Amino acid sequence: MSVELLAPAGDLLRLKVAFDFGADAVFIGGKAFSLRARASNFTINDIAQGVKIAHERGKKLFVTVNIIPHEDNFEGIEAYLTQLNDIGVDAVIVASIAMGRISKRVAPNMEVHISTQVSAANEHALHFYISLGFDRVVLARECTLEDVRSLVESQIIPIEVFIHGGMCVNVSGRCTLSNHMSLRDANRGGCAQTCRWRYDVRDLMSGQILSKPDLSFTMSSKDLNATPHLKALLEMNVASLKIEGRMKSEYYVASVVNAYRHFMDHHEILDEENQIAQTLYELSKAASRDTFDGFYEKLPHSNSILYGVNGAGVNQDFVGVVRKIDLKTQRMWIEVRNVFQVGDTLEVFGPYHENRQWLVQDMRNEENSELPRAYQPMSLVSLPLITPIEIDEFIRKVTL
Amino acid sequence: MKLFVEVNSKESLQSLLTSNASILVIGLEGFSGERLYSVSFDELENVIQSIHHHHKQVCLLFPYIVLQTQFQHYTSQLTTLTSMNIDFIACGDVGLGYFLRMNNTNSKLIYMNETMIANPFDAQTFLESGYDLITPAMDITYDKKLSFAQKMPSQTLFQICGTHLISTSKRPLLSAYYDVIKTPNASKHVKLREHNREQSYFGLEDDQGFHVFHEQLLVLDHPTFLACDYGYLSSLFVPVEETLHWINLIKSNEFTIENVMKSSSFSAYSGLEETDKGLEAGT
Repeated sequence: MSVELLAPAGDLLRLKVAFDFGADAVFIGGKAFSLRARASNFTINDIAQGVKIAHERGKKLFVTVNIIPHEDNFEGIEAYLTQLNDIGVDAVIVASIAMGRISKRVAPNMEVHISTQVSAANEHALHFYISLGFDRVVLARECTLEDVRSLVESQIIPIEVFIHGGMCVNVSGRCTLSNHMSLRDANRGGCAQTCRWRYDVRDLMSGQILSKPDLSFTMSSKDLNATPHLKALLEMNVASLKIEGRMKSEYYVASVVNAYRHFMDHHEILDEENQIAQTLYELSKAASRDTFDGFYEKLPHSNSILYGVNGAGVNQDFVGVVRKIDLKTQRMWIEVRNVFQVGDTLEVFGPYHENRQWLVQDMRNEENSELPRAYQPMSLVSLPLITPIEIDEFIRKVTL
Repeated sequence: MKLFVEVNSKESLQSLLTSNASILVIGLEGFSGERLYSVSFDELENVIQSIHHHHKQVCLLFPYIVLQTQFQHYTSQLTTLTSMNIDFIACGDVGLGYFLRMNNTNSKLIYMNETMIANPFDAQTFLESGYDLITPAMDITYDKKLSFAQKMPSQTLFQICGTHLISTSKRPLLSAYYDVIKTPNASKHVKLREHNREQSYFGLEDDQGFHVFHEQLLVLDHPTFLACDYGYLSSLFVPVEETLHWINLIKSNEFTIENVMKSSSFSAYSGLEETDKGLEAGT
């Protein structure tokens, strides 16, 4: 059985991008019952459209229902799960075993995946969840490669693991820093990421300040990038490799999915060392934070924490999307996302061809007037056609 | 009310053996870190006998998740627990609880997780899955806790008084930081304070990772909580004399937040008043 590449999407545009660039399945959040309250999130009609897009391509759509609910949060859950089932959602991802069981009762054909929020990390936990009728477990991100291998080999239940994206510094689902420091419930979609704040540290007994004023203590985790362990994960045949990031941009989704898809499709024929280097290079073009390789090889130490860094950077390298190809005039039309200009080197990337680079020497607007600089987001500019090229491929600026 | 009381050192064990505590909570080396007084597998039988000798019951607490390889390493020892005379085993890992139940443990099982059971439906599902007691999430509001206590007074184990865990990481976050600032031997028992806020938190690093605890005592003094069959006192960072004082207040029906505060160096609170900020797009 082939390993699934599972990607996030915050709206229909990103969902389509994820599928176009090679995801086998996409997970999204609805307007209710989902973590990431600040992600765009999908209405029921959006979800129905998402299912249609997925199934037309022979792919799958999962919906997160992964809050740790309070009593009042159960209102409407049966109707919601029934709706999801009726419109053809393939699976829900839950953190509450009660919600999972409700789903199995009202929507028996829809799979239930148990979220990483429950921190399943051993075979007995897998037995517990399969005893409740659930279909897949997303492992705790604290599992080592050895743990994952042993759990996959146990063949108790299909296993999903994270390979890329934001990491909770604390055991997922077992952190209420945000609740206490900002009154925002981390386990119901309101996480204020207070772990990333800066703290003074004092000795408990003496009161002596131990932290340095110019480099405060923080619990701000670097993001996960499991590329060095991807071949091992593929060879042990986990059910699914998951990319985190429902709040990330279309460019991020495209770049990350594209890089991992390429690795997965070629890992049996290409030299591993080169492939890792190439994938890390591709992923670096979409990086918003520094990354580390998680818990897979060893217990993370200072190399896993962002000291003295504020938040995630915004990537300005993404400059546009190919929207039209005019063979007659031998030009292609680009929908602008970020500024670029004549003299820049651009790179086009997509699921169908190797990346292609070229120097911008001629650019025109919709009136066919020469344009030295493209700066208006969502405007269309034309460039001389390069080949091969496909509609919806992405273009980024190359920093030489 | 039967009182579970955490033992946080060998010395405090001696004091608590002659107290009005009903059930003494201890840990196991390799699983409990410095959260509690932790004994080795070899010592466990003797410690249990000693506690029973004083007509008290024993609760063995496993507060953190157990990784597959760790579980495999300790499987034979964990199996021996099922035939020992341990009155209660409290698990923060569902796998451990499932393992003990499937091996027909003699002990009553408690699912003790600070966050996962935030509603009666999940509570009921865990109880139907073989647990005898559950701990409701620490972060639900006071009113929601009251509702829990009214609905299932015999099956919920509330922390009535003490400090409490608010996050746990497998990573050695203090050691990591000390390496970066080149003070590798600095203390692993600290107070943390965010730059723009008054509130401090306890930080503790041990062989299980880095854990943050609320610095204020959580005190649930409403009669509805005190009418439950069981209550829990968490004593980490607290002098044993103060824990003994809480026990006496409860046993003499004088347990109020004011009385707790009279003889405490800690400040106290009765739980979060709301946690719904920032959820407008959520539920």
